[in-house]
Amino acid sequence: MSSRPSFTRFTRRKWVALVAAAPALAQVTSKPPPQGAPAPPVSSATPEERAKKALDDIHATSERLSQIEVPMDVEPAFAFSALRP
Amino acid sequence: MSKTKLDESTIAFASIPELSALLQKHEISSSELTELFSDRLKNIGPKYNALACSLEKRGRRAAKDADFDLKRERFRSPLQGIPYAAKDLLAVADYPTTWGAKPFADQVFDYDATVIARLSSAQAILIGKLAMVELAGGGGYSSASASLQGPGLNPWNKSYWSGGSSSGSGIAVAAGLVPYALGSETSGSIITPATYCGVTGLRPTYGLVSRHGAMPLSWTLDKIGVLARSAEDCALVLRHIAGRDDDDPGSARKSFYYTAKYYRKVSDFKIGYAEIDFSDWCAEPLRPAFANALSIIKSLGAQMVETKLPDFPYGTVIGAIIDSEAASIFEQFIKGGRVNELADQSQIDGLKASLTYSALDYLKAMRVRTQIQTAFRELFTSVDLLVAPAHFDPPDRSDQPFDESPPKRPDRKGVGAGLVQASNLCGFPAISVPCGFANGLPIGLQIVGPAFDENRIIQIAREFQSRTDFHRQRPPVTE
Repeated sequence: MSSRPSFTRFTRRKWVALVAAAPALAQVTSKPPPQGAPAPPVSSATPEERAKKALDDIHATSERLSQIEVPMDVEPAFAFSALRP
Repeated sequence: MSKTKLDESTIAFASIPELSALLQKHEISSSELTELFSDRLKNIGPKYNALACSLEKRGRRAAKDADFDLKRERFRSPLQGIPYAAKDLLAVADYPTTWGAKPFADQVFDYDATVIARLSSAQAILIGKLAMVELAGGGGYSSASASLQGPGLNPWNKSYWSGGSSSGSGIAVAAGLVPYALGSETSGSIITPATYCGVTGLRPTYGLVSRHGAMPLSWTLDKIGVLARSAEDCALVLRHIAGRDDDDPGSARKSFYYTAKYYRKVSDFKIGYAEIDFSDWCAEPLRPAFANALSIIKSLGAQMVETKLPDFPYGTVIGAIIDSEAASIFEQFIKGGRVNELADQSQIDGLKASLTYSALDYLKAMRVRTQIQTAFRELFTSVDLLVAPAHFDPPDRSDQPFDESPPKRPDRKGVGAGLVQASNLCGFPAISVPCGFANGLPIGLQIVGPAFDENRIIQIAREFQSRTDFHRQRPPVTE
């Protein structure tokens, strides 16, 4: 790992930046469908109905979460650390 | 394995120690192994939609170097000279890394992921990148077709799904296209394909293996792991991919040493399980095989402790965390419209909707996660590990949308329901071992242990595999 030149070192933050920049980096190819692959299933729902269902799912999750009582002193399962300069 | 038995089918399904012995005795060269596995991967892989990209040229160069050292008896690792392949979520310099998704089909990085670099140091031979569910399934997908390569087809019966999101990794190991493969798991993506394809899958403790160079889906849940022929093979690979990495903020800065010589007596172990998991919770056709698997577990001589999981809404909590973190990671991708190029409409809709999660929901889920961790710390004071069916149902069909109607289950819960989500939320290691067949398809057991106690779950998995031959069965794969 240490033998890698510094310009190739990516932090996970850089990864995120890369994902964000992906539309500029990636070029879509029109590859033929893989052999033996069935066509993706087509839903009978309209785009609006599908979008509503996805949003409803999130609202349901939000509702379920709000019903869970958590004592005030319970902190989230991640920790912030101050960095030395 | 004697020299006279060195035919392709024997080698294709040999274990890592067997292949290493052949190499060290100069009965086969790394170049020969690389050619054999590369040909199988190229010829058979596409028939199961398992291959994303062949790296045969890179493999040949590396094999030449390995042969140079092996000839001079410079033994570097048990993986030296042995081919493997990696899920296409891991960066490999100068080759496409598509994340299984059309919008990233031509994405190329200029560096290797840490796990790839570590295996190169061990002189392991990377020969290909393996198909996966697009974006590792972030957003939720509705069919096996949610992949750039098409649906992962099960080597035991192509009409069924291979499982995902490490689809190609499960298929390639099961079909003898590579001796082992790297996969990744956020919630079930190693355990599921390992189970459905009938191979052994090891998901390490969160932070034990670097994620640097892997597609991020959930910063607090992503893990890189191994799919291989046996628990021992998984352990040998884990030894070389685990360890501190300053490029991964989630790195636990710990190493893994495979300490089989110092394993304690199995009779000292307390195994938590629930009878109901192996009967009423399973789909009817799977029950005889799971009942047999449980009787084998009981025969190992460990103390069996009837237990149950703490009562939490694991699915809701892990769903909120994955969706929220994925929404943040892929925010520009979603808002910029490239998300519409994904293959699976549910995934598109799910990713778009995930932008609406509130900070309050995410933080609530993460606080409940703390409570879950506390509850499991308590549970692991009374048992050493947990055993349950990895899946209660057979795989979905590969050519139809997933069946979303919930099967009828008992009201009383045991250990298995929610264990995949719970153990991922806690960052615990898990191993899935083949434990039988139902209607010609493999089924599997999951063994979960406390954080950084990989040796404990590997020991019980090894013990199980020393008494069974389910992991040695081969699917009816032909070129």
